[in-house]
Amino acid sequence: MKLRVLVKYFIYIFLILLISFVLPRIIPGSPLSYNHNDTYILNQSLPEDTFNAFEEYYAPNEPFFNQFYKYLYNLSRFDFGYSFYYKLPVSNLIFGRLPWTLLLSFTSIVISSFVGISWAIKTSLLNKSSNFKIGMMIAIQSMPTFLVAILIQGVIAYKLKLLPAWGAYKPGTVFFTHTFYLDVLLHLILPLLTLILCEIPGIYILTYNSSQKIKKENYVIMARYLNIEDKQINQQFIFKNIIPEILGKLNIQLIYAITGSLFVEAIFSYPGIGQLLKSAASSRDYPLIQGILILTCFYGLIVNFIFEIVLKNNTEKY
Amino acid sequence: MIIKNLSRTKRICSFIIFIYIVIAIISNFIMPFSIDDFSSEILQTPSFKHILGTDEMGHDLFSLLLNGFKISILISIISGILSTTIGVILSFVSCYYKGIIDNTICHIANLLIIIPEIIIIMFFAIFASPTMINTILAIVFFSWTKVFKMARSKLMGYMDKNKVKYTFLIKGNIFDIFKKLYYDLYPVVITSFILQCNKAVMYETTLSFFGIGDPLSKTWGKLIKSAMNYENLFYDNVIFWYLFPPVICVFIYILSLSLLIFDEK
Amino acid sequence: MKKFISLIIILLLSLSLAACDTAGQTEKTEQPMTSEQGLKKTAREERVLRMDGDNLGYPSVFTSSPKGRGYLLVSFTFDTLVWKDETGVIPLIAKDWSISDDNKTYTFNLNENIKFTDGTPLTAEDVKFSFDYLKEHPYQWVSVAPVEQVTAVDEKTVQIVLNEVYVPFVTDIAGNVPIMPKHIWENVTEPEKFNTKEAIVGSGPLILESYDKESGVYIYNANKDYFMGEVQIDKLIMSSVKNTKEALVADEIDMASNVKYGEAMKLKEENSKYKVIEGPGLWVGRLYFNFGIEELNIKEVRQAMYYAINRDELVQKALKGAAEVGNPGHIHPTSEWYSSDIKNYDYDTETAIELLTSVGITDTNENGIVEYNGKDLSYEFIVPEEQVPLAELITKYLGDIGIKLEVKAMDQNTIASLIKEGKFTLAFNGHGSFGGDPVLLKGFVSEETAASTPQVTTQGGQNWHNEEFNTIFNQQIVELDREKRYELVGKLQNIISDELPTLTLYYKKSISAYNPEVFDGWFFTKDGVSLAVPTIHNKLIFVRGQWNK
Repeated sequence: MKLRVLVKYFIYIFLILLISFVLPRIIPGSPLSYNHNDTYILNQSLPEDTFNAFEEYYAPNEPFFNQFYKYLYNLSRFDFGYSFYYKLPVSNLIFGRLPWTLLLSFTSIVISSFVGISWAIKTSLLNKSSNFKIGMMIAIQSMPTFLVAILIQGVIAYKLKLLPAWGAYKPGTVFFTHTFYLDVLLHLILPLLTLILCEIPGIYILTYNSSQKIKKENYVIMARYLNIEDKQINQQFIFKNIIPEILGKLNIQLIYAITGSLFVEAIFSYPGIGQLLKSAASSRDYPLIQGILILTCFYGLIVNFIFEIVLKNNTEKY
Repeated sequence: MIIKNLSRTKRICSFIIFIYIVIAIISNFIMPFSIDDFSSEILQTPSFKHILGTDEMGHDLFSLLLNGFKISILISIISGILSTTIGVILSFVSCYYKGIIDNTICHIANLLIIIPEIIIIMFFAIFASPTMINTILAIVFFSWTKVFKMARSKLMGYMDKNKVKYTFLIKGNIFDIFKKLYYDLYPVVITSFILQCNKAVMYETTLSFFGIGDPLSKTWGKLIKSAMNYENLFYDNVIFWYLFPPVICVFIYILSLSLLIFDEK
Repeated sequence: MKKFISLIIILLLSLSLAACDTAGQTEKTEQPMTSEQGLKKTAREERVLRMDGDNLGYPSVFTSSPKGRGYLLVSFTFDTLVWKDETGVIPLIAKDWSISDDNKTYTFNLNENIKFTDGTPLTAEDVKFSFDYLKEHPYQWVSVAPVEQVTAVDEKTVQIVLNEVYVPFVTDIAGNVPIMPKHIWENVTEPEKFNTKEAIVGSGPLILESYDKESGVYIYNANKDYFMGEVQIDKLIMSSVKNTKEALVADEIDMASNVKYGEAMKLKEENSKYKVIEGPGLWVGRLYFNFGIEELNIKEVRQAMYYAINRDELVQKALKGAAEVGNPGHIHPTSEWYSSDIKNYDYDTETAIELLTSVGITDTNENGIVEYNGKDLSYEFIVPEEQVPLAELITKYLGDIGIKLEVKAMDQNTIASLIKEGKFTLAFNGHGSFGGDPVLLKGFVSEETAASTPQVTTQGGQNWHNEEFNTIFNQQIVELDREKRYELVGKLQNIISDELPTLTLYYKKSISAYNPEVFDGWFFTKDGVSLAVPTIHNKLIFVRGQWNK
């Protein structure tokens, strides 16, 4: 069983690498597209030093398999190429920014799952739910994250000037002093708020549905027959069974959290990966966007892998 | 007759969607100004002539908004149809051939759920040349997974049914199966189509906002982007007629579609 | 429940601290800490000036961006022989200079007490070395080609001999060659990769403390021993700010040099706390042609395009009034070299179509696009991302006369490189360094010339070629009589306005806003800082400004 899981993940990794390698070569209009039989055309559309870096990394003139081999070899050494825009190795850029993204996405997921799960369980156990509440949740969920970010930034930071509108800290502050931490916290509030707001509905609806399902399970109905106290039913039967159920689906939420945080960062100019994504998009920085894609893929894989193991251990207990 | 089975919320939602589509269709006739007409005075406040005022270049914002209906809904529906089709076809292929083909497609679908769709769509769109078609292709290619999953689980349930077994018995090919099961799949297809329309408009707006795609097309996302680029957006209430209308249009569209497919039970 | 919440908060805090730890460490390694500066805490509060800026690379001579702003960062740490302020040329390292009768030999007497920031005195040897070094390693900002020989007469006297008479020598070359310490640079063979702490030892008013290459934050400390006088600030922080005006109002920065014109005007209107100053428009926005395309070599095609573009509307709509309308003769109308004897192109679509027809370019197959020899006039038009509105206008204008454009938006640096390397068909971009001496017309000379201009102003690939223009250009560059030179420059403008090697669309106005309660005295330099860089970043402000906080 364990082996099968591992094999599955190996296949996934291989597929991801294959997709990230093949896609740029088959997309119409791509600089690496095979419609260009020689690199002349590419050389006509990229600046000289960019072209050189590009050619060195992608080696578009070599046979397909050599290219793929080279690609894998480079990746195995964490060499994602050289960013055109920043003129720095992509890996340096990404790993330098990663802590900020992780800070934002993990804090938000911790808070929003706590709020979302407890709220949903509460409403569902007390039968207090209303279609209106669910409707509201769907309304928030259907807002694209970046639009929520724009609205929050515009109103709270620019219009009311309550909190800093961009960045993670004031430029030039000395690191690791008290003012610095305070500054970081102040700058964190708005992006975090946006992310939490966008994550709660998903978690809420998920939890609500699963607890409704469990409420209809036979053992809960049985417990009620046996006149076990409501409180005890909630704690002993329902709550304990909801947790593995939710854990099994929370991985998707975690993956959304990272994409959500990319967009939020782009709007709030938070110095995480999202900002890299934005500049990569506007400057057509191919190696950088490729690095970000691979990173998010691996993030998704790792999260999934961890949850698969956690889930296995949990479901076996009950 | 379908309408009657719907709850009140859903009836309202379908009415809103209907209105959207009507506006999209007639937008060309009710647009007070052409979208490449920038001869009006710049940055006017709303008036009878310019219901939502004008932007920094002298475009009539109301016309741009209407044009956004046309383009955004067109993109939404085209990508909705295409990605639903891909998803359904793949699910038939997967259920018919089973074995390794089924496995492979399932694995790819699982993988695409693990990878955030929007990232890979952006990846595709950045590499591709900036045209509307490529934006649609990017959305279509990478958002069929949910359709596939829904359709496949439904189909797998039908595979044991007698009519399917019978078709297999007389060595019917995939098209015969398709004919047999087409009607059963109908509700799933409708739901996933709406879901895909929803996603498409969300993704398109995001892409436009990030400056990916045709720089001169006037979608809602582009309108939001240009509003955000206007330096004095947060003064003199400009925000109410420049930024909010497209945001609200996107929001209501997505919301109505989501509520329409939300399972109330 | 409450317990849980407090637990979450603690978790949050510790998480954030942990993340900052790692984030900070990566940046800390890049900080060459000046321990002395850190220790020497004076009694009064540290005077920290915060301003906006761009990420322009490591601010040493060869590693910074080739743009004017990149050079200005270099100028904070590296002084030159002479400099400019709002009145014109002033002495800097050289306290005075004399010119020989044949106008070919310049003798500079250096100030006595100048030291590099590592303590070594600056001597004539360093000056000679710097000129020689730039000759050996071509520098993208200034070319020393007109210089034949530099000799250090004694410790504080330098003699510079030119090949030929070169009128703008003092302003354009002596005012731009950064004087680098010989004892450091003599061993540097690859200056493009030289980015250590030693690479920023100069004699300027500021000393680089740290540079964060990812976010583009520059932190400078004052040079306490600066020979021009006491530096009025202790620390300068330049960072890339997202919304400059908001940052200024929110007191995140004290000087907004990148503020947009509309924003600045709004600020002026509603908030008298801030000062808004306008400078000369030394930034030109132009349409570039690739002369490798056959039909673009036809003068009438370029003229037709110019007729078809409504420049007034363009300035009003795409630039929101933050610019002046382009002059067909290329030179800025307020320049002392401007000539009004030029051909004018008032917006006239009819004439444009007639011109196209006159050279046989018409729409024969009725697809809405005109053809030349059966080929549609349909081009890819590259523009910087932030200029998409302009692209929309131009697409419409040229569409009216049957020329189809396909717009491709890219970031500005990419566009600049593509133009420099000639890899484009039609492009829009602009550049500074557009004021002062008419040597700036060098970009249109198709043969080798001794004249020196920054590389940002030139275009690559197949260039426009005009024999007459070349001859007159080379005549005027050695003409000492101002009247006669003006006449020649006027002729050059006439040729440009007729031939249109580029379509001059507009001149951007420069504007800055600042908080005078923190630091006052900002000024715009006459003809722009250095080689007409149209910004407010003149290093003299650090000595001359008043700290008011």
